[in-house]
Amino acid sequence: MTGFDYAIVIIFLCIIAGAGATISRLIRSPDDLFVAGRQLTPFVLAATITATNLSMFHFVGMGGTASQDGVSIIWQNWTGDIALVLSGLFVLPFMRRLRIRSIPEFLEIRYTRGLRTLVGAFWSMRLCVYLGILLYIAGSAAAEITHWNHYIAWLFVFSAVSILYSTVGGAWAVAIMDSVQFLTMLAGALIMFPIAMHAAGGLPSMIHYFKSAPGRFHFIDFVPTRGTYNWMFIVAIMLLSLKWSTIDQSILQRAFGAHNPRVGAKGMVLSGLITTPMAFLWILPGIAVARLHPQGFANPDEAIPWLLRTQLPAVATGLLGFVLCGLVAAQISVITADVNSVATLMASDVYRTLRRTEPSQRELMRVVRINSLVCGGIMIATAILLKMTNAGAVKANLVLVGILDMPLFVVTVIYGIAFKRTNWQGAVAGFVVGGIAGIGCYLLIDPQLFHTFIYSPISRLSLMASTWLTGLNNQLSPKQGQLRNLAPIISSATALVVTPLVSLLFAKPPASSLRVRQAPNRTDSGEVDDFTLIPQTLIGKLAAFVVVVAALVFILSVISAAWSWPFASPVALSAMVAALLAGVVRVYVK
Amino acid sequence: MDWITLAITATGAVIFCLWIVIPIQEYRTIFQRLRQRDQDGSNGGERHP
Repeated sequence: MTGFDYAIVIIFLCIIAGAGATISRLIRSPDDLFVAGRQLTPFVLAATITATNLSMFHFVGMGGTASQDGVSIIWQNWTGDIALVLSGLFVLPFMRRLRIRSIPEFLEIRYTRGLRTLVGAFWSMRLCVYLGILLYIAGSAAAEITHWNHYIAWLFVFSAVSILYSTVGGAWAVAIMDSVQFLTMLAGALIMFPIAMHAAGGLPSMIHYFKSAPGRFHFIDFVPTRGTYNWMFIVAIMLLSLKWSTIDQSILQRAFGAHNPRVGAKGMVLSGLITTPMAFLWILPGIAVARLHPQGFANPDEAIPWLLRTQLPAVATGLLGFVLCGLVAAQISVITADVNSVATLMASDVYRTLRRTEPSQRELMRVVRINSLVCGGIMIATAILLKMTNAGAVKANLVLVGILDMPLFVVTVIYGIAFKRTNWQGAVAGFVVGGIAGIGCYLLIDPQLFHTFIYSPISRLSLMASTWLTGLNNQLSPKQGQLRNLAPIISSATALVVTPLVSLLFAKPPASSLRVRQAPNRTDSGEVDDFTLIPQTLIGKLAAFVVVVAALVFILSVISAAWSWPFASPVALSAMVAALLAGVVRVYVK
Repeated sequence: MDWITLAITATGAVIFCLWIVIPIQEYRTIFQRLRQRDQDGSNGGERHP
């Protein structure tokens, strides 16, 4: 990396940090700080949702995973795109009408204030850990690309810039700068992609290479029958994507900033539409690395930095600096959005609910600032821990969301919106027991975790139980790569069963809690709210119908790969494209 | 450059251009609304439960 490259990156970081301070002038109320005054428009919203979604986790983590396990990791993006369309059409407009700022706030309206505080605190911690994973990728990639091997220093640089501007500028800084960062990361990817393809001999030549190389056909199979990222992974990640698009605080908070429900739906659908072709820009370079460096890497996160370091400087001076700006933009946009979300959760859902009187704006700002510093400390600690254990970022993230998020999705979206009888006791039980089931699944299949967290404590209580569990662990651990995909299914199934059962043991929820179903037919600014669940026109109805049917066809075609159905991949891809296009039609007609 | 690489790069370039032109228009609308809000001394009609 040359001095020119360094200069480009440093100037870019200064612009980002300075922008936060300038944009802070727009903040007049807590809604400005948390949901950008609810003034965002469709394309701005699509840019901010996409920038919040995409990070180095995609460019470096998923690209690296593709270099090791093939193209099917792309479904982690694509299932998210289908889920964005489904959420944009059927869930987000409903929540936007409630004028909430966070998912825990919805839980208070639907269940009880205690659940809001519990989930708010839990989600803050979960986001801090996720931020640690993002920081770990950023630090590792920066050290690898620049050869300035001061990992801890990189962590502090990224943390300082992102915390500074999101804390000072709030949701306005996040939204406005996300538009700039979205373009910067796209430009970086558009530079990296053709160079990587050219270096690997072009796409047709790569396809021919993997088709003829023994045991490597699955590298270019979109829905493989075998391997770590097989059809079962795609089904599991589809479930997780539905969860992500309907309850993920950082994504939903951006969408709550929409000017009205229809704008929110447009933003989410457009984001899904543009991310789909963009996913090729970071997955296919990973496949190119698999050809250029067939012996692989000890840590897959090293693959894309290696590609950048070896290929870009040969083409032109400064290119590496531009691409690095794209990567930094991707990472900082996510970190700032998540820091803003943690601030919202802690200030609005934890601090505010624990106080008896309404805090002043000044007090809220102080909570936001203190919380941002604590959040920074936790994410740096997580990033250091990940570096010490040398875990792959994609795997670490999948473990986190698999264990913890699915029960919340079941309690919030499935039972919270669709079933009146669910009460707060059932919701708390489903959330906690579902999470424990997910954790138990991971502990049982991993030999090291099993020995530490299950065998040691249980062997003190019962020899028979510990012997039986050891036998089970011995049987399951050789297949842990595939069984890991089952963890989100197990945690959600547990929550699905426990929530209604416990709800039946207690009294019906009071009628007032069901006001969540009642929504006004006017937007905030007094216009007619014409975005209904069932569209008013024939084209709208047809488009909504196509979205639902295409999503179902997609799931069935992916499952059909279990029996090696030869058309699983083309049918799944066609269903995804149909869902995305029909989604766009639906949001633009009544 | 092969045609698949060209098609993907061109799609990315089109998205890039669209997301420069349209958001500029949209930001004009947003700032107009914010100015209006400041003049009215209101919060853009926003209510929070």
